[in-house]
Amino acid sequence: MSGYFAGRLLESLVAILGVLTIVFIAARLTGDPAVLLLPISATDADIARMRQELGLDRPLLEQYLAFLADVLRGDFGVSFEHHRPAMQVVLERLPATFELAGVALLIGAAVGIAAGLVAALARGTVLELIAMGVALIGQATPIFWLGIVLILVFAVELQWLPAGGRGGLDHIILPAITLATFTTASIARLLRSSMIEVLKEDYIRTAWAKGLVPRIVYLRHAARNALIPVITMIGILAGELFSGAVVTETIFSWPGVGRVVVQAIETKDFAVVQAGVTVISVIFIGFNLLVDLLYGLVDPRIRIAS
Amino acid sequence: MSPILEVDGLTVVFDTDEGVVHAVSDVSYDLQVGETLGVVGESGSGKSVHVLAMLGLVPMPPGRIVSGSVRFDGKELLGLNRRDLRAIRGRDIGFIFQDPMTSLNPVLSIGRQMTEGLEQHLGMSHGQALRRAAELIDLVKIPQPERRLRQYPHELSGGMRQRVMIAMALACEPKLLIADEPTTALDVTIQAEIIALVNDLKERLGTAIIWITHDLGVVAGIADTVQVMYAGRLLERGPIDAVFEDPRSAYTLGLLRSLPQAAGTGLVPIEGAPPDLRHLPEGDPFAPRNPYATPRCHRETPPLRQADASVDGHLVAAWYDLRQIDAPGPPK
Repeated sequence: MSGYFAGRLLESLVAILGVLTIVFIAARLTGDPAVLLLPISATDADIARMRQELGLDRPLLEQYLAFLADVLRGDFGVSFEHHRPAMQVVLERLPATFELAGVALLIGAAVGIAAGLVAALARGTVLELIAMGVALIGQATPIFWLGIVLILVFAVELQWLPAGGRGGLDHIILPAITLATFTTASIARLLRSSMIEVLKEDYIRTAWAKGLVPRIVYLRHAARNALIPVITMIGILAGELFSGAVVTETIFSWPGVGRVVVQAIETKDFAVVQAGVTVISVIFIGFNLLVDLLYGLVDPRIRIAS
Repeated sequence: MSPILEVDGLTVVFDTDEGVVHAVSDVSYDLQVGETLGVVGESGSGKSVHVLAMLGLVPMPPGRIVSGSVRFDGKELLGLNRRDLRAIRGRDIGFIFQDPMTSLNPVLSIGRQMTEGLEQHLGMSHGQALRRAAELIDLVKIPQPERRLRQYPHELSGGMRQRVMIAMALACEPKLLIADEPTTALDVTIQAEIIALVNDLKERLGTAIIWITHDLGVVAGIADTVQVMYAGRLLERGPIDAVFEDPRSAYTLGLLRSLPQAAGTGLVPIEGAPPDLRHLPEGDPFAPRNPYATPRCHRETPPLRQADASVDGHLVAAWYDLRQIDAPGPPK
């Protein structure tokens, strides 16, 4: 297990290094930062001085190593917009993103698993048809459209809930539902098909032959196996949710990481973009690592094989 | 001695898109307390389906029990509600299935799979059940029982997994053990070990056994009584020695001749293929492949009845008389 863990950790570190490299190259490709930073009236001499100040006149490899050294110290530069360290700007937004993602994931996993199980066990009934119909629509609905419709109905027309911003419990309901819809639908559909396959397995016939009650056959024997692919999917979805839901955060003016990165792109605040993309990547890769480790808990075959 | 299982006129069909599959047709027999019955037949003969159906282990639909009666320990099983059926499955009737790799749950420990039946049927606490499970693992001669209980199916060898299946099936000391091709997926040497183990346990526990197989050789090593099924029907049934020494059904004779012989005369295959269960032929289902078939065999279905001049309880369903044919030698 520890060897397996070490291997996966190393892979994750390599992936993060890859992301940092892409961030570095992308920043060099989007134009000369010195030109972007200085007013249009700046002379060539001003630009040259700026380039020297920023270290842009040195060889690319040297710049790259200097960049990595800065990253290791947690130094992603200063935000031009906020006049504070870029990483600080991004990290301040993390609690908002995690709060929204956490609530959305909880809704998605709970409702998705319940709906998937019901649909699989109520095969061929109207209940399955309804559950899967709703799930299909949920998975196919564009998030921006759903968010706007929810705002129109519940905030503008009915005025039950606020249209945006972060505050009390009422503020999180609409964005969380918007964000959870796709997650819920994906989990429900995957669990249903996975459960239907598992119920055909020989070991399920063994469980029935042992005279076990349906609750144990379905939950202990079937669902545990059927959840294995679902856990992978939850991990991937969680990585996406926790690394900032750009669209949802923007629609609902939710002050999260996704929104701050989008704003930084608009104002060409590159330090914040770099810090934001790095944080998002680390979260995403971290969740994938977590899923692989959880896998071992659910499936003993993986625990041993490693 | 009273029978533990009385099967009378059991008929099972499957309703499929391509028509009605006649899986089991009018099967009747009794099984005595402590008796070991070998049920022999090829795939599609109804040998497995008929026992699975009587315990509600066949998906219905598409499966459907058309008629018949099955009395277990004096109690009618067909039409029994699910709760009462569950109380019998695993408690009074234990099952062993063909492939111990796929028949054990890969994500549950051996201990968990062994104890859950004990907890449910006998109301044991988990601790009691674990101690009993360790005894059972020891009973089927697997070393280090406590360690095995913490392991998972993939950590055991094929033979050991089947021993675990046997221990699991015997956990609640059932009156009847149904073994559905339990050695088919195993190596020949492991097969022999499993058969020796079951023979030993049978003596000690006095459990009645239905041993389903396509292998007559296996039956010879374990059964008191053998019955041969073909296309959902019983063609022959009797004490093992009588059937092996004096087969009266041409199909049984064919099966015996297709066994490897010690004095290398070569294998004699049965010509032709089993009938399509959706369109069964008129009369004796084996008649189209039977070189001894009489015209009557193609018209009327023969009843299962006492074979002439044989031991009591040696039954055969045949219009022809195999004794009048010049055996041995392959049928021409």
